Amino acid sequence: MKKEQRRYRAATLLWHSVENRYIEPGEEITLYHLAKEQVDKLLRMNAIVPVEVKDGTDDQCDEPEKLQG
Amino acid sequence: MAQTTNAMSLKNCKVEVSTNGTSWTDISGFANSIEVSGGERQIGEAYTFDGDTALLTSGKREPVEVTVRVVYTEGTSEPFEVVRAAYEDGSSVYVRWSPKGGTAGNFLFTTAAGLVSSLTYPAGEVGGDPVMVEFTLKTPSITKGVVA
Repeated sequence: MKKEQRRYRAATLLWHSVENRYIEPGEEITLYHLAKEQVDKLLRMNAIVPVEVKDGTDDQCDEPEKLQG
Repeated sequence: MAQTTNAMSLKNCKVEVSTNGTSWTDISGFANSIEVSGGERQIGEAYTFDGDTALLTSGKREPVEVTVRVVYTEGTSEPFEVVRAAYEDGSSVYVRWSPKGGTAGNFLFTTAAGLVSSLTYPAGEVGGDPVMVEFTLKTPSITKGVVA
């Protein structure tokens, strides 16, 4: 099962309300403190872009039994 | 294009000040007005014999002035005292505000380090109105960001 993307890259200057610091464009951040609707809003605004999560390796698979043919 | 339905007033504006650009104090419970002026970009012009219009060249932007009106109070960490100290010793102050309230997705406008160019001390007439004071911050620029 593909893991939910929770890392994002700032596409504009952001104020991280939990870390209490400014995030420069290009910096990777987590937004666990935000509800899905709030994250979606930031995505629609192009304020953030999702960072691809690497998958396909055994130790990252949530259902290892599915790898067995 | 159809008329917008996204207009807003400043009734929920969140205003904050800082003396270091890192640690911010919410003064929304003290402030009731914020005005911005200045910031004009210098633009040069020249005319030539040939051609009917001016040649324009872009120069630098002039400083911006942000004027905030706050209720006068005497608490050490409250806006009047914080800004008064910066005004009198010439130290830096930052102001930022979020017109829509400062929640995730709202725009946030932050000044660069500025200097308090003017401050009104408490004054007025006999009457029942709260004393209001005003300070003006002169700053090189304002940067727009988004609250996350």
